[in-house]
Amino acid sequence: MIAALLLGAVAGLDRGATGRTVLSEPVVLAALAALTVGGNGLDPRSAVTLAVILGMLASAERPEGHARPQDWATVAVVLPVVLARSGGGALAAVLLCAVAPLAAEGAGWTLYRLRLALSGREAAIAALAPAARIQAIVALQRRMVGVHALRGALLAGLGVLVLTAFVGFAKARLGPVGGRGAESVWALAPLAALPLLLRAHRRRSSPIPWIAGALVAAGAWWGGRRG
Amino acid sequence: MKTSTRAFLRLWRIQATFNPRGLQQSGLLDAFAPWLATLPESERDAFLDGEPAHRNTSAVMAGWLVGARIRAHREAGPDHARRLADALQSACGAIGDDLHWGAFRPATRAVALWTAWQVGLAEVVVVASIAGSVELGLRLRGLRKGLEAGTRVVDVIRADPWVQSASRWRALGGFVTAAFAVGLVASAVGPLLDGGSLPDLVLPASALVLGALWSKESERVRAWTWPMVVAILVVIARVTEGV
Repeated sequence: MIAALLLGAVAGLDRGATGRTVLSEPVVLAALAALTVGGNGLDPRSAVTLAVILGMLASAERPEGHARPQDWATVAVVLPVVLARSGGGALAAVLLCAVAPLAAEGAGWTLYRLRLALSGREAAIAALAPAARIQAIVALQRRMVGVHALRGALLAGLGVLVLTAFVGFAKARLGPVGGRGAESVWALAPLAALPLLLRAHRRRSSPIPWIAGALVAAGAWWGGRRG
Repeated sequence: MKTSTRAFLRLWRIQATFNPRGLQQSGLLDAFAPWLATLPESERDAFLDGEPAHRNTSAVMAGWLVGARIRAHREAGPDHARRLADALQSACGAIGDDLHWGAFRPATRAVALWTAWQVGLAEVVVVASIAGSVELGLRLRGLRKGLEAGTRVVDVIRADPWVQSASRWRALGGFVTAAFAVGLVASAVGPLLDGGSLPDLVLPASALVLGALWSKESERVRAWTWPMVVAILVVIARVTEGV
């Protein structure tokens, strides 16, 4: 749980305060979270698959401007931790992937509300005299770094608690029958997210690297089968 | 600590007060603050009084804007420097979004996904560390180049090799994504070629078709998309279980 809170704070900082570096890429944060809880009931293959699916689902994300943002960074921290706490398994992983976009919307909503609240604060600062105004802006910037870290940590903690309870409840209700269906779906889940990834990466891109990449991969795969 | 170093460190938190009213204006003024503290009071007040209610640019290119404005203020006066910032913010925003969101970040994501799938999670952290260092260097470099360029900043940006490299990053992202995609599909259809049963055919095809249908719906992955895909896959799995 402490690891989730710390990583949540890092995710909140990068998502909210720094203008988003590659650290807040979901595949990166999910990898970090999985490595942190790796020895605690999370099998490596499930952790990899989860990180890859999150990376693909979040690939359609764009710089938001005025739009309401999604927060995939916090979700990427929470999901591997919950999967480890729930004892792993395909059913837990499928359930977590199914709620991931809803969780990203919810976490994004808190960021949006925070920004709306900041609009009012900024309007009040704009009315100050220049000397007081610049001091107030610097103080607000500094304070908001802490607020973003706190938002990330709190959301991560809350997410871990709520989703652990949800997965526990769903596993008890669905039982072994749900587990068998989930295993089939879990094996295919990356395929269902694949078109999102392809669509996000194809925009404004020349077809030549695509053809070259596909040929190289197909050749390697075919060579591996024959070998 | 040098004024430019303090400005760079503050640019790192540029987005902290981003909001729908002023956008990045507070973040930019925060970065200007160490330099403003070196100006005479009347000049600083004039700088702040003339500022518009909102400004917005790309976090990756904000260093160019801040650096160029500080230099232009000294070279050509406050009015010219403000007009330069007005003209530069949108251009830097568009270039930064193209470089960061359109090229560098997708390429990094593609490499990280491929690394996670083929190599391991620990190596993803290595990829992210390298990419993060490049990004940190780009932001620092932008401020330094902006301080050197001043009023010539537009020409310097236009000739900058990193700005011109966006198409190469996009090409790398495309290449790795295509390789990753083929590998992923191959891992699903491999059992079928080895003599699999009907569910082995129906399920991968369903997963791809459903994903493709819903990914066409919107630029943004809607919250209900993935739960529905998973639910339908569960139904198909249950139906084909007895075939």
